[in-house]
Amino acid sequence: MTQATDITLKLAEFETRIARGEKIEPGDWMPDDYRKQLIRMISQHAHSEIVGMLPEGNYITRAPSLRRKMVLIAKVQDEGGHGQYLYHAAETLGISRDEMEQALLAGKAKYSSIFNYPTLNWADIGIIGWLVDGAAIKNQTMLAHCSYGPYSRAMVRICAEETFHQRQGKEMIVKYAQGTSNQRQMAQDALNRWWGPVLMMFGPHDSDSPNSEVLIRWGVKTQSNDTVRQLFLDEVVPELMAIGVQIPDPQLRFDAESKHWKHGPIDWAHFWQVVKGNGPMNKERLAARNQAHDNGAWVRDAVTAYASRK
Amino acid sequence: MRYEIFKQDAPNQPHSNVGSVHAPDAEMALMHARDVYGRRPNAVSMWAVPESEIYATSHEERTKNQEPRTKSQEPEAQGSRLKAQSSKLMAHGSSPTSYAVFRKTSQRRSMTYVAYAGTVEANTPEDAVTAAMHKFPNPTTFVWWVCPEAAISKTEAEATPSWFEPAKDKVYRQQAYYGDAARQSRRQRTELVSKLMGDETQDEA
Repeated sequence: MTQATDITLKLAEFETRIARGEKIEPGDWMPDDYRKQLIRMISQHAHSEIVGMLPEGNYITRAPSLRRKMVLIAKVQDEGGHGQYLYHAAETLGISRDEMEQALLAGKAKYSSIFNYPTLNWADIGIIGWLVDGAAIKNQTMLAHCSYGPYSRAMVRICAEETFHQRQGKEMIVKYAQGTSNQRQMAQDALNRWWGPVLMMFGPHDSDSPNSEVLIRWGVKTQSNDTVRQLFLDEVVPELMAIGVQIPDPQLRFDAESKHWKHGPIDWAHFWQVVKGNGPMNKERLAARNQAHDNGAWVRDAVTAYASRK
Repeated sequence: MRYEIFKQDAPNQPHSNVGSVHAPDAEMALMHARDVYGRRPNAVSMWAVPESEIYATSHEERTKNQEPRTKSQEPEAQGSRLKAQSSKLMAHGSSPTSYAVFRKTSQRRSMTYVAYAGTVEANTPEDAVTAAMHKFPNPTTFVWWVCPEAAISKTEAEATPSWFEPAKDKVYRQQAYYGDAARQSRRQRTELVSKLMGDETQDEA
């Protein structure tokens, strides 16, 4: 048997397994491109969890009550844990933790652009929980069906934990929307700044998403970017309208025929600028991550020294 | 070093693999594991095993790749990193050793991977897998992991309350804690959508 037919056969078997709903596990045969795409997606996802601690972490000392502070600490700690689940999942594909960490610290790795925006007022923490985590949950629920076992399992665990992140944010914004005029203004201001970037979290439109087709065929993604974005819109638009905040999109409308909410144009030129590193906080996030890594060096040295002396 | 972590949710349930942590020794691996995998109130015990002590083999490997592979033959990106990479592992081969057996028996969506089945006596990891197939027969075993029982580090039973019970008090980590806001919001959404679609009947449903 030639090598080429051997690969064709293996690929056919691989795709049959996925069609049967089997999970692909470490050690099973998989096409190189499946491995590469998964390493790309999972490591970016892991970095997003780690960098995602920064915009909220800086509010822990400024939380307005002990209850909000405990909730925020628990949430940020969860994000750190989620990064660990995902680095583990990526490692099963043959990339080392060190490689991923170095790529992030050197600014070579990508992470979700949503974390390159500043948190300017306390209500941002509520909007991030409700909308940013809400959008992430939609995406992660889809990825929990992923054909790669370790990624799917990480997603199931993350989704189970993350629903509290979204709920605490929603609770905060619902209360502010019923609160004083200052509180209502804070909630509105946060929504105005986050709404556009949140819609971008689902990625480019399907027509501009070159990887999507093969990712869907191999069961890595099970729904397209636009499909997941629509699910999110249909859920949050009426909820936001019901509490009396204004969604900053004059073209947003309910299409009675399709029964879906339709958003106005998304500023993709801006999106690509942020992806390329020119967003409002890209440099600060990278600097903060490097500083945290450097500040932790003595701890890593100490535990290694302790273990070697036993 | 990378340690694979197994978590037990209740005393009558098997330890199941939840993921891994990096740590310089097993003691610190268990401490990390508690922080990473024990933030929710469903852990009573955890085990940590160095990845180099685990011999892993999948049903697919056993049926499709009859040629045995060693770590040096396989491209870094091709096989399980756990598989037969440790000379320490092979050195157990001289006299019968007790191996712990873990397996994956379902394809349904789950938070956990292989679960503990029990122990077998064997001279090599490969013999342990063969012995496990006889001792724990199951037509749908997709993955086997074996490791010397002695390679498992365990949380101590006396430590269980201080290690795992504090998670139970952190009710604000549960979504149900925010129930009112969420229920109100869901009701309002239903009402608004009904109104928009001119569908009065939905309100009564």
